[in-house]
Amino acid sequence: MKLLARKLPWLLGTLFAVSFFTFMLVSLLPGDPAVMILGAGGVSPEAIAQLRLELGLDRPLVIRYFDWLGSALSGDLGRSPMTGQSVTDAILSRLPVTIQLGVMAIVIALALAIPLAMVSAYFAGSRLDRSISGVGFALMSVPGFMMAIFLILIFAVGLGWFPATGWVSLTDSPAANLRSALLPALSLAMIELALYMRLLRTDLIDTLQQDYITLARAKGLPNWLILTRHALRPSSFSLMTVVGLQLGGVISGAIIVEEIFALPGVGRLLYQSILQRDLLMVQGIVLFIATAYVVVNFLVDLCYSLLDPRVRYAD
Amino acid sequence: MTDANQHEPLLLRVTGLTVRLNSSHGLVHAVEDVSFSLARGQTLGIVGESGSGKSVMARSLMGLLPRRSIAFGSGSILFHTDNAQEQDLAQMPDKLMRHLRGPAMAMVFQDPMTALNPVLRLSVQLTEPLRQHLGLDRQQARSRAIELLAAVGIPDAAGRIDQYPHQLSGGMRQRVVIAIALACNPALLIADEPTTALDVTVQKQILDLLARLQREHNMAMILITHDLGVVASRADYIAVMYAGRIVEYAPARTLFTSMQHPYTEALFKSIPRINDPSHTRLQAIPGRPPQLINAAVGCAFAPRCQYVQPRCRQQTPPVVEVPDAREHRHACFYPISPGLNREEGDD
Repeated sequence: MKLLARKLPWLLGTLFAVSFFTFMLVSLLPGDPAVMILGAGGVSPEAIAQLRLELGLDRPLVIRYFDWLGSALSGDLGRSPMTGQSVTDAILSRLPVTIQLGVMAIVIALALAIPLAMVSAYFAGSRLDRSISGVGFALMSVPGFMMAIFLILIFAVGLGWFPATGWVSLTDSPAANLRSALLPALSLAMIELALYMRLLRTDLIDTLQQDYITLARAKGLPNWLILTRHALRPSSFSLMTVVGLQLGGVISGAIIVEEIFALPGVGRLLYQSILQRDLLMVQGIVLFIATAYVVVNFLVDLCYSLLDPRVRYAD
Repeated sequence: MTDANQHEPLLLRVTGLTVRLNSSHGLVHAVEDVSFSLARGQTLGIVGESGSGKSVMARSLMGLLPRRSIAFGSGSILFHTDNAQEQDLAQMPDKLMRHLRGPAMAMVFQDPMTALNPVLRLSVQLTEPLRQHLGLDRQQARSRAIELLAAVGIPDAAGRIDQYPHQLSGGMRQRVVIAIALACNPALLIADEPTTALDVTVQKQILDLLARLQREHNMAMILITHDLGVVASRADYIAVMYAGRIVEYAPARTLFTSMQHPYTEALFKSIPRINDPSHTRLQAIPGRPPQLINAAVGCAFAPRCQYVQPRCRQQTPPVVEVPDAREHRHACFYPISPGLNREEGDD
């Protein structure tokens, strides 16, 4: 609670700054939204001016910002001039897809990365360790869209185990939902996996040289217990920070994968809104991403104290 | 090697222990041809400067050196378990060795600030060996752990047990480390500089605690220190280590009355004494202990020895017995004590 009180002003400040700069950046982009909506050819300047007036684009930037911020605070991010859809509704309706994707990806990545990092660190320098690191490096250097295409080629086109595109919602059919989510989640996970593994391996190797690990061995504990109970927790700080950042960045991370797999998520919404110059939609989503980032990182800060009692009692 | 130790049955007999380690600078000759034996309930003090191979030797007895760091190892570590069987720990695979760590031998570490896991409660760290080796259930192990904490002199043990290491002072933490070591009632306790990292006022308390527990449990103890004064009154036997070798070994009283090796003498003179007139300068040993990388020819102490002779730089002196003295050995061509036949030890 004390932590919350200390961090809250900082949290709000960050959000305010982020919202301001997003608004400015998006508004200062070249290209007139009114022109985009009406189409470039054969529209009279009067019609454009009329639309600008309706959209409020004739008012000063700062006024427009506070106007937008005011409604944003009450949960109204405006209405897309292209589709007429409420931005808030659009985001909320697509959010479950993106969250499921992101969470699945991180769970898969962690489930593979933690044991692999333990094996790697325990046998550091061995051939096994070098092979694991080598595969990790290879995975890390493959761009996300390539990974997605590979997976589609192998598991959807080649083996036919999973659908190549499309989404079935969890409420319609949980089994089909998992089938449709697995490949996209896997292509996100493969890239994260390598990063998590390398981070954790480095920290584990460091931890394994600590005196308290020697003491744990001197107690006659089996190696698996030493690795899981004694070494993992003190080694997982950087891992948790990065997982937190990635969880916050799930939406932006999912843009390409959602587009390739044609999933109705927030990432794809953002991508399409950018293409259509749907400013209100872009602003809304970016504000949403930034909020997610800040909130998740705050939660990560709270989690440090779960990992390390010294942080807990320092408060 | 006719160490009698007649009164008590033999617990440990180390013969020709040699350990060479890989390091980024090359091969480290950490332990060279070390031999000694230890009976139940007795204390062996191992004295030497930092870098003399004391800790590596202790860890190799426990089988705690990382396998990959060992470039070469030879010699035997015969350990008599409870049923009087003799086992060579040097040949024992880690899977079996693990079951001896805790119940047969345990270790107290130098720095209590780093020896306890910062993220685990004392209860977890104390009950682990109890549950692992003695098969106690959670509740039994917990109450036994509280007894252990009380036995090492921690006030309010029942309340302290759920704390984390950082909530305890250095001396208290060392008591916890000792409690962990004693958990399974080991026959041998290896204390690797147990007081070096502690305040002077706490040092004596911890040493006294170790002595009391040793008596109560009839444990043998290997007390490793760089301070000859620490072992003077507490050890039955003293081994002086230099550059990975035992350069002198004797019953504690014999060592102080008729030390043979110039290095022992130099160590002895570097202890401040209460009877010295004030402002007496301490006699520091000139030079530095040798790097143990790529063993040099000749006696390792020769460059710092005030009695050095040409021969010392050409040949490595073998370990020889002092004639007419019980269990007194040294490795010097020109031992210092007068009245003893120097030529005897020459060849």
